[in-house]
Amino acid sequence: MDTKNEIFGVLNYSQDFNDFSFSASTGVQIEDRNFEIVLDQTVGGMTTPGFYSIGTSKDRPNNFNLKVNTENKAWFATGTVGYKEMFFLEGSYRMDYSSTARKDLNSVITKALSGSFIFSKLIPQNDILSFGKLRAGYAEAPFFPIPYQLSQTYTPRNPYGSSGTSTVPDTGVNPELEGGQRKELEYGIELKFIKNRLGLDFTYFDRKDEKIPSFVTIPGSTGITGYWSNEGKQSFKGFEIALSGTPIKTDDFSWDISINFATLKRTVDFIAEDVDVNILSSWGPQLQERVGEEWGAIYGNAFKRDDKGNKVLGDDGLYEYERNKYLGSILPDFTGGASTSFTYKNFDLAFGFDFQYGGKFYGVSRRYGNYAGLGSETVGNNRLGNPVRNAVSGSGTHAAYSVNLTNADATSGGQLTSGVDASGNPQEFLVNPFVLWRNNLRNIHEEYVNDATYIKLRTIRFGYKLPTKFLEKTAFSDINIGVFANNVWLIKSDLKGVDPSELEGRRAGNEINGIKNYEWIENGQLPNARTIGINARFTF
Amino acid sequence: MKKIITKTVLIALVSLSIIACDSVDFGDINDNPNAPSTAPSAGLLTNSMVAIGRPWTPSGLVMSTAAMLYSQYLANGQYPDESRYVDFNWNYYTYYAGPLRDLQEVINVKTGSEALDATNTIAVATLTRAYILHTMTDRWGYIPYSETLQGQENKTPKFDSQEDVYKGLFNEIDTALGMIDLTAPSPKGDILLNGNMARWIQFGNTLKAVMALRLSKRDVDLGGLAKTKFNEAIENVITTSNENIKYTYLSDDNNDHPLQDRFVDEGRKDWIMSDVIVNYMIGNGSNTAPQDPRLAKYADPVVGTNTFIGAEYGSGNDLVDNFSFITKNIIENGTAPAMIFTAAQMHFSMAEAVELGWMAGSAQDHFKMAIQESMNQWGVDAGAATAFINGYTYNGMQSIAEQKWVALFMQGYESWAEWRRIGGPATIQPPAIMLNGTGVPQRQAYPSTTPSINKVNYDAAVAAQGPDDLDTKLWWAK
Repeated sequence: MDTKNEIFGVLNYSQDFNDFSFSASTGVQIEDRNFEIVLDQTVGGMTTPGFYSIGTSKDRPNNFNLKVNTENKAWFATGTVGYKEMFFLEGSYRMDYSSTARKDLNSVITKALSGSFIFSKLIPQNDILSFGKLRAGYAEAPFFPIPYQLSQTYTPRNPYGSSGTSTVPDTGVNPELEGGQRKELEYGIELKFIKNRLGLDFTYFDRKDEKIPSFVTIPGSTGITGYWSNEGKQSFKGFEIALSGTPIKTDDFSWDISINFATLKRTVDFIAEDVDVNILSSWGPQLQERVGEEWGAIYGNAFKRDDKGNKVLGDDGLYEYERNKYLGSILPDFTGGASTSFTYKNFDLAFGFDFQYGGKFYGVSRRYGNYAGLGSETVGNNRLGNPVRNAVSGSGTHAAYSVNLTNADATSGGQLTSGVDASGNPQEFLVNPFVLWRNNLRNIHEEYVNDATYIKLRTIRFGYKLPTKFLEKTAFSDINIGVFANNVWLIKSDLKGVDPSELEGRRAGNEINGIKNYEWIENGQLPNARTIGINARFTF
Repeated sequence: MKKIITKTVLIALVSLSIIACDSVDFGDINDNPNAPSTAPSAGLLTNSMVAIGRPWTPSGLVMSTAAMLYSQYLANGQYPDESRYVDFNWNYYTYYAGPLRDLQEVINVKTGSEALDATNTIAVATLTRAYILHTMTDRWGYIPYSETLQGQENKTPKFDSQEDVYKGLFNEIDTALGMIDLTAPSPKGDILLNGNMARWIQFGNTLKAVMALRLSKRDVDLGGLAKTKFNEAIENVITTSNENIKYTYLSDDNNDHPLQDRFVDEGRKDWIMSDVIVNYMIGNGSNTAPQDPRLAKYADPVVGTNTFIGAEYGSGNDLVDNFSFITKNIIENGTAPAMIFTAAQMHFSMAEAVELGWMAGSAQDHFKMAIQESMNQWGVDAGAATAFINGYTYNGMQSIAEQKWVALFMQGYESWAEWRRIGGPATIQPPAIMLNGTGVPQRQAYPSTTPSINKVNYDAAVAAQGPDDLDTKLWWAK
């Protein structure tokens, strides 16, 4: 059960004086949220066949109740001044209060100020620059803790017979916990040329997260596995560019195109006192943040390499590896999208693309596929022309599953491994693929860390607009009937068959730092569905 | 205009009603309604004890299949990875943040309390804590000890040497034993020994003697401390099998035997008897009439036959039904107990102490008593037991090592620790394929996050103890 009561009151005022326009508003917002779950579960099965009720639980049923109540209050004031519809200045002041923060300091003040200047109004009408606007702004946003993190409680657990059991929660309490802010400075320019046929929008942002309640992982030997802290600081910088244009426009035909790019550099400035490394998520390899480094680093087992970067093989031809190594960042160099549409008379055709360059993800489909011998990499012929799954044969200490290529019989099966020995001499082995994939490569996370670069044609739509004459006697001003397809074509990706734009391995309950759900794992998910359909748009 | 002013004033007044500088009073909304805010001492104590018997890895202390595989009592069925040491990092954080934290809370609540059960409760909590920490140091070696359980006050607890952990635990045990008051009320929530403080004296002394003997190879370095501690304790240890200290599983599915869950509820057949123990116990008998009568109590014959067949250790044994399983009295019985300490174990310890010259007496007599108590524990009939004992040629330490290994069946972690110290049958050999390490494990590796989140102390521990892998021998094993 989830209920939310909200009271929102706002008073607006606006007035023009000569060339100036003013508007102002002030208001209050009160929000009361109640969330309640009752979960019952039979234990040891049920006693009455075909009848489903908690009452038929064989043993004492498990019962779980959760009630969460939070309340927020806020008041705010905003004001705007405009001059000749050319200069605009807007400011706001807002004070938020939350029941989840420490009682003596449960407010967060946020301010914003932004200005814009349409400088094209000062330039005489011309055919080159049709619109130009500069803007700059500063804004703050509040973030409050999750409830019940301030004082110690003791969680009841399943009883042992008639003895109740309780445990001290793994998450430590922090009585000092309060709200924090995201502060963002943004500059932008918007230009339109040649009668609006070409447009450019450029934004640069510089964002800082300060005191935002974040979860800090600490060694469990402290008695807790982590706690919520206000100490963290992170910086975000990046730019966004959007270009749009209409290369061709005649009475019957037009071609529109738009494309955008965005970059993000996210740096960890501080985590908490005595904490340099924070574990954000862990599943085989770990997603970490480290002070002074870029946020979102994957750490795990990596191939052991010599000084020249060659993989080191053991004397049994298996790859050696090292633990707790940096395997890459999940943050891409840039992301973006593009769309284009063609209109001819009453027909229109539109394509939507998106793409990402750089960034890594960890994928287990290939890991488990090859582990189980289902992957195509576990079959085929080896260099000697024999099926890799044939028995390895030749001489050597480990000939049961691995032989040095130079000692292999001409009929030997086995899959090639290549690298160097401990002293740097190149060597190649034929290894039983079962041993290679199941016992060796399975443990080397680096093998399954993939580049998340991709280009994808996400949508296509072909539409037909009914001629106006059919609509004269109807209530509609426009009717468009079309055929569309989503998830059309993964044009390029590093790992065949896995779509880096659709990762959903760690979605459940894995909100990181209370802000955004970053996907970094492909956990053997089903390929996402392609949908094809028809639709019709009615405009009144 | 006037209307607007009136409205403005009204809104301003409403706004002002919630403006109070830094804070607004929300009452007790943020008091968690889902859990009590006062520490329930009895519930915390019970929970920490349930953790001893709780399934599954890594928490399982008294019922760990990994440890039973290390000791080669069991072999794997279709999936041999566990018997090839697939698990490298073992997470001990669940002990600190779980039972050890709960016990700390119990001790905190009762320290300085005038409640009549205060001292006995602290003693029981301390002994339970010592038992858990002892099992831990025998698995990982150096462990965080002296700087633990301080929450945010110390975010990077150092690792203490195994020597310091042992010495610290001896002190804790001695203090706890000194606090026990047989005339005062016993703690509530003691599901292990039901508040019987005389039994807790046995528990503390038995634990102390087991720990002391574990340091046999270090006694000289320690200036005779191990011998001293052993002799302080030995008079009050358990000596008959009806005194065995065990974890009792209950019939309800939340609290029943973990192997019953696997074999019956889930229908898994992932563990079978290994050839190492079956063949050892068959001895100079036959697979239908083994030399050691306990085999018929430990295991069932292959279904539909009367022969005992163990599966090859370290191999994938797909046709599990061709082999003997652990007795149905355990794997199909939700209330089968798990042994924490047994009288058999203590008589073997005494036999060894005599061999070491730590105490007077006859090593062979204790050895025979040890086997007899083991036979009693498993319900072997007297005649068969006597025949086996009389037919056995005692050969000093090697006999003790081998027969203690047999008697510790199902006590995985204790058995593995003793194998690392004194060995066992020569047939315990590493499997042909190992996924980690180069032999039967000597320890377990620290949690995988440790090198990242407690780097300085982790590096210091590795520098002092040796590589953080399965092969590094512990201090007392060297």
